[in-house]
Amino acid sequence: MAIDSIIYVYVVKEEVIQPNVSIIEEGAKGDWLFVVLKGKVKVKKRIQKRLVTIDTLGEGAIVGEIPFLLKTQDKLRTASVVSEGVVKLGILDKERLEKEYELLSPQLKSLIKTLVLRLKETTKKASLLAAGQ
Amino acid sequence: MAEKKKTPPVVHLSYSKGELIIKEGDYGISIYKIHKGYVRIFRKSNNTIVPLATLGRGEVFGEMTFFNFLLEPRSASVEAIDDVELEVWHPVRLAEEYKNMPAMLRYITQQSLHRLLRMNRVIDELTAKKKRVKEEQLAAEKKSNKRRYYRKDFDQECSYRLATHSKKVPLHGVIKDISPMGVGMEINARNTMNVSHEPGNQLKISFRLPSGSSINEVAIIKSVKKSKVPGYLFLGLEFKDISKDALKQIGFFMMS
Repeated sequence: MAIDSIIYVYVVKEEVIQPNVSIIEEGAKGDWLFVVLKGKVKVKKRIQKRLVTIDTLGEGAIVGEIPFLLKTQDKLRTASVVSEGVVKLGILDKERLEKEYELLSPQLKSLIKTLVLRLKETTKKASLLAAGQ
Repeated sequence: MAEKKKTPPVVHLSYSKGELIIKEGDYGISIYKIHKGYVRIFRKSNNTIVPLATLGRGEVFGEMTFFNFLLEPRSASVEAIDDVELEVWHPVRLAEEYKNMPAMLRYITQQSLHRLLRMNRVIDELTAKKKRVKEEQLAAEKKSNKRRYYRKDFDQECSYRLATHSKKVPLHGVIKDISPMGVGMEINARNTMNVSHEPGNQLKISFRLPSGSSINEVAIIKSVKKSKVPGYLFLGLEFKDISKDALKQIGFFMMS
């Protein structure tokens, strides 16, 4: 997937990540958003004591959007993201995104929030099933 | 005032307990926010109802159609659990706002939508797989039950003759074991002097179960062995096309 030029406008910092490095840790606090500029990352969820891979994302994928868009107080990460090979990661301009988001109408904001909430719940359901529960 | 202008038109609706608000497969475009009461969201998959969520005050539904650009039919049904009051949003002005919002926010939202659709597919596949595994386990259990029931000891007089010689005087034997698949019958070796008892031959057998029901069925000789009793033979017989009633009667006897 080619990276849309609109994404680069928002990249404030680029980082090269070595293979098998945890980029986001499930349960940790944080609402920074990242974009995968090169390589692949795995999305994993902890089900009891097992780590279940629920998705593999490639170039252009945004990760970390759930706590950002849900706007929960705790800002907890809902899944872990681990680099598969060497990954070039872009850190997105959170403040700018935040400002733009705040300008949306309350209705559109709740629609986006609902969508992200569904994604969070559905991902949890899928990982439970994948873990054989 | 400028802020007010941007707000899309809002309509209020009420539903009573049990009423369907959204029907899966329909082409509706409205978005709903719950003001009072609860709704349940469910999907039908292979004629079974799959509950998805229960939503209450402040929560929104109908968002999937909106983010799918109003192209897809409703992906789930929504029913009122009790008396429900809803705020209905018309999507046209919201869609306009969505189209004109900063491209990056739209990009992130679209990605969330695609991930959600993918996760829904994963759930469908895994649920179907789970169902298949369960069915296979049940089938395997049934099969092993058959084996467990296989051959219940029995001791009952039986008259029989070759299925092709229906007018001949019947011969006699004693059924020693029985299963829904067939019987084991002990016969006097003398019976074989004038009538062929070769594997593959078909016998018309008649006997009674302890309940009094009579069984009259055609059975195929599967094996002929010497019996433990000298001068006697043991026939392994398999029912050819056992009647449903006979199967039921034998079933009852097996369970007794």
